Amino acid sequence: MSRTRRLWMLISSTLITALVVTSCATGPDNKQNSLRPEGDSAEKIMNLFSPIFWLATVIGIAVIVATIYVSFKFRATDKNRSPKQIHGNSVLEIGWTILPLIILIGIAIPTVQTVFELDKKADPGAIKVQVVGKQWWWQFAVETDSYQILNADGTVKTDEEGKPETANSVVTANELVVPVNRQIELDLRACDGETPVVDKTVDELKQANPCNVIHSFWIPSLGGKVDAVPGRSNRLVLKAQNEGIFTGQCTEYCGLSHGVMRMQVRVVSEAEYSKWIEGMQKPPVQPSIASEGQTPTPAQRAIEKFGCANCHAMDNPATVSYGPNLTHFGPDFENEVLGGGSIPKTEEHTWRWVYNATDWENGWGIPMQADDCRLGVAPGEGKRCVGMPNFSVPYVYKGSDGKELKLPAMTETEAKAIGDYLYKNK
Amino acid sequence: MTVIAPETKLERNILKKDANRIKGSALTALIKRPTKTTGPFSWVTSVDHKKIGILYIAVALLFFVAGGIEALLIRLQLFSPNSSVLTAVQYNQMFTMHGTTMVFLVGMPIIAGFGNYLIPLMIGARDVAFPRLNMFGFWVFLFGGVFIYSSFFLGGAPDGGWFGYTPLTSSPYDSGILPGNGTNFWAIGLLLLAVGSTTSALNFIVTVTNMRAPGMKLMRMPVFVWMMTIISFLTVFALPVFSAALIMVFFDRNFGTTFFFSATGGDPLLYQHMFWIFGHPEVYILILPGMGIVSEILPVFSRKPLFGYSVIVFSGIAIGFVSWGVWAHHMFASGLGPVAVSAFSVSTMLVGVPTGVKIFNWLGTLWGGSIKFTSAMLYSVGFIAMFTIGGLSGVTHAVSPADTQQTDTYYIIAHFHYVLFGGLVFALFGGVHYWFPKVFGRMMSEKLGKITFWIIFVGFNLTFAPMHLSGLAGQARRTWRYQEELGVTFLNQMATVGAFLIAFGVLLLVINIVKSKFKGEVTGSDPWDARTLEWSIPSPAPEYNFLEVPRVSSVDDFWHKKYEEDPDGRSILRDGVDLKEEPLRVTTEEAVSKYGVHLPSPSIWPMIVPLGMTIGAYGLVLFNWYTCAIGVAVTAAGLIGWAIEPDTENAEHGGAH
Repeated sequence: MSRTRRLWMLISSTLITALVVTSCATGPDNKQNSLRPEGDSAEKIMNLFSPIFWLATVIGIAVIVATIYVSFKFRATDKNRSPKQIHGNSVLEIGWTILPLIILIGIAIPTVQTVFELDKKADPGAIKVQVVGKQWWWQFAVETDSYQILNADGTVKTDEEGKPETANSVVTANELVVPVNRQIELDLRACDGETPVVDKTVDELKQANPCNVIHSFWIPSLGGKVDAVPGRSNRLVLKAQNEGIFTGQCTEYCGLSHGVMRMQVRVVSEAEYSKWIEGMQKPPVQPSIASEGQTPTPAQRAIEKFGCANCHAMDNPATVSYGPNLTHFGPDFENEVLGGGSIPKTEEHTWRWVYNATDWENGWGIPMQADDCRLGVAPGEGKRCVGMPNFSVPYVYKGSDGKELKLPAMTETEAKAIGDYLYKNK
Repeated sequence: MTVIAPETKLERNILKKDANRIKGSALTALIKRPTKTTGPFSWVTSVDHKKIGILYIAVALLFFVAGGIEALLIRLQLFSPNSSVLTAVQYNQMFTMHGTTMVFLVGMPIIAGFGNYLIPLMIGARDVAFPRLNMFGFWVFLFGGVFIYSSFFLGGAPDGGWFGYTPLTSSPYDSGILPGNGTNFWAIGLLLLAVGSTTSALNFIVTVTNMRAPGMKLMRMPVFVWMMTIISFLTVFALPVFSAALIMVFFDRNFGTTFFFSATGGDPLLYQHMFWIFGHPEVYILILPGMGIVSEILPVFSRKPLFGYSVIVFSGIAIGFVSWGVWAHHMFASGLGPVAVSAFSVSTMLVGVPTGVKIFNWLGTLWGGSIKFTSAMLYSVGFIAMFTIGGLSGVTHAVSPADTQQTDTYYIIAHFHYVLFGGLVFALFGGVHYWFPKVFGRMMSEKLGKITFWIIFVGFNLTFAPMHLSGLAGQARRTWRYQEELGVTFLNQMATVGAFLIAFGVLLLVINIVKSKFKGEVTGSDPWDARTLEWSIPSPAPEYNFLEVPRVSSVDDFWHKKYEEDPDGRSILRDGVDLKEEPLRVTTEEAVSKYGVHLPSPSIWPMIVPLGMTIGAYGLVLFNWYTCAIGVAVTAAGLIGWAIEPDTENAEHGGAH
């Protein structure tokens, strides 16, 4: 085969490979794919990225083909042993400096335009959600109209002064429900509220405030990612164009279980959304504490025994707590998730998570650093309280004063009782 | 010894110097100054830039294997979506150590090694400006690297990521956020390494400024020397910022400060700014020497000068300056605000211009040449292609809205591996093939070299090309597991197979190096018919480098001494030049006694000081103040011994200036 023939074969096979490769260009339809936008923001980004990517591909192929071509054309032969010693060419230099510059200016203009467009505040009428990244799950506080907090028996909940409690948000975890074609304005944070600075030592502050890491919120089908930084509030505006479940994950390394810190956005019709909000504003089907005069159920006894209320709000849909608000844990839809968004919400997964949330080897949990949470103290105090502890084993804690604290293991029966209680609180 | 009563200030100073020399000799007589420059122990005490260069490269290659094993473990874990090859803790340690190793224990030191060996040879000097400081840099690197790796056995390796974002890494060490000592080892270890890198860089700057041979104007220096000079300036200005950030992290973590703790007014993003204003120049520190190596190899195997020499030099300088103005493109998702994001988008696009210019100039070098595809040339041409791909994906990152989809995904991993592996590592492997004959006087096997290249080339593309797609399709970085539903399992499996192919290729390269050192075809001073000064001396390079200081009259002076140009512009051999003639080689003793060569003497102190620093470092991370005190004492003793000792002493050679 002649050299020229071989050369053209090489060039054409390179081109074909490149074309084949880049034609897999949209990737799998996995509902977590930036190349298949299903939201306004992701679409705007794709409209900017796609032509630039193709331009870059064409330039790349051109340079590589040129490299291969030149390498073959000027191979050493007996005839060209002594090539002309050319040192440069000013016209070429100016040309191949100016041309890329012009191309880049052409790219820069729509880039800056898109930056400002995506940074715009949401329209009035958008649904506001305060998102807090925690280790290792996402908390969503969806703003609603003002509503009264009710007890499980239907009476109005009152505060210490006897005034009825009202709230204007519902707090949930792992899954954010939103209506289709409506703007959602996310306020991304890494801390619950502001920690008062006075009267605390620095160590106490550092231990007491669990906002010790940066997270990043990413639902690629709907939009780009924005970090949740301690001390800051970052805005992300999304608008889903289609109904469905769009998954995402934390995209800023946040420690041990960063790799399985996931979440999803469930896009539903306006009617379904209103129904969901209404359901979230109601009191729980079962309270976590027995009312006066009533015998506690097995679940209520187990909840008290293992101190769930130390970390989880359970009777008030508007309360923010160290762990997820479990008031309406029970699934309202299919394919909900628990355990930091990486575990499907089924009855079995629920009680097994309560039993041992660290059982990642068998798929019932995720890695945690949380054994000392069983001390029952406020979150953050104690040596290792990041996540949810393993209740299936006894807990022994030796204090610095030498005193030992022994806590019993949870039985499967107790776990199942709690799981059942949670699953029924839809 | 006659006592001279000092009458003038000059005489007083001479007497003082004599007295110090005697004192110094008395002190160092306690520890006798090493004199031998041959034999195994001479590798510990040598200040010869060539020995130090080889040590840097050899130890960096060992760390390359370690970092490679970490990568293979990562790829094994990611072969299937819900794998248990590694626990989450182990996986987090693996990606932290892989990044830390490759950047700080391979990239920086191997570049220092190439620079060490080649800069004096390329500018016609005998050694660097500060030979003992040079030796110090190597020992800090070795001890610092061992220090960081010892963390595996002393409570667990660092697991905060190679970049170590706060407040994850700056949370109190007993808060359970990143438990154990790993992050302390990371911070202190990197502080140690930064000292070595900074002193090395200073050394190179002074060497290039002061010690060029007569006629070696700046615009006649080889491009590799230019690139090393530019990155030395970048190092000197960038590393101290990172060191300051590391100290702040260490203090937040262990001594109760709150630089990065938001509740008391600190700002986690401050760390990111400090890290990346170092971190971005750092990646140019890593790639520019690779570009320099390629700029040396391409002309030799095209038998043409480098196309656009001055443009390549000025674009390197431009990259050096602009690299300071793009750092926040690593922070596009952190909430900087649209003005800052736009500004850094535009500046990042700008830095692509000088980079692109270099690619075109390299193609111009190949054009019209007489191209011989040796292994070194394969790697260099491969560099052009791979770096183009990596550079173009980099331009897509500059489009900041697009970057909010790309950042922290496998798309970014694809980008930087194309520029760092397909770029820097390819250039380094090419450089190994190219300069091996100069270092060892033998050729590497070309046949094995070519097979190795293609295996590594295929393996590399198989590993990293799929990541462009898997990243955009939803696979995030630094994730111990991924969802089966993502549908990227096959892409990950391809990448794992590719990684093992790379490993096999690297194994072949190591075999080639070792085999060729002992059994390679013996060669003379100029096996490639090359262009720069290092090829004018015998192979292996003699200890004294040049018997006579060369007189330089142009770029590629050595080539012009061999060849002149005919009216057509083609090179023809000059009259009386016999390419087979070998330059004169004498023993070091003869060089000193007959040819007036002065060489720096070996020393032990530049190894003692890093030893003391490392002992002190262990004291810090293990909270043992006695160990700290011992470390400080040894460091101080080392510094005093070093300061008093004259740079050259009666030895096998040398003698006072």
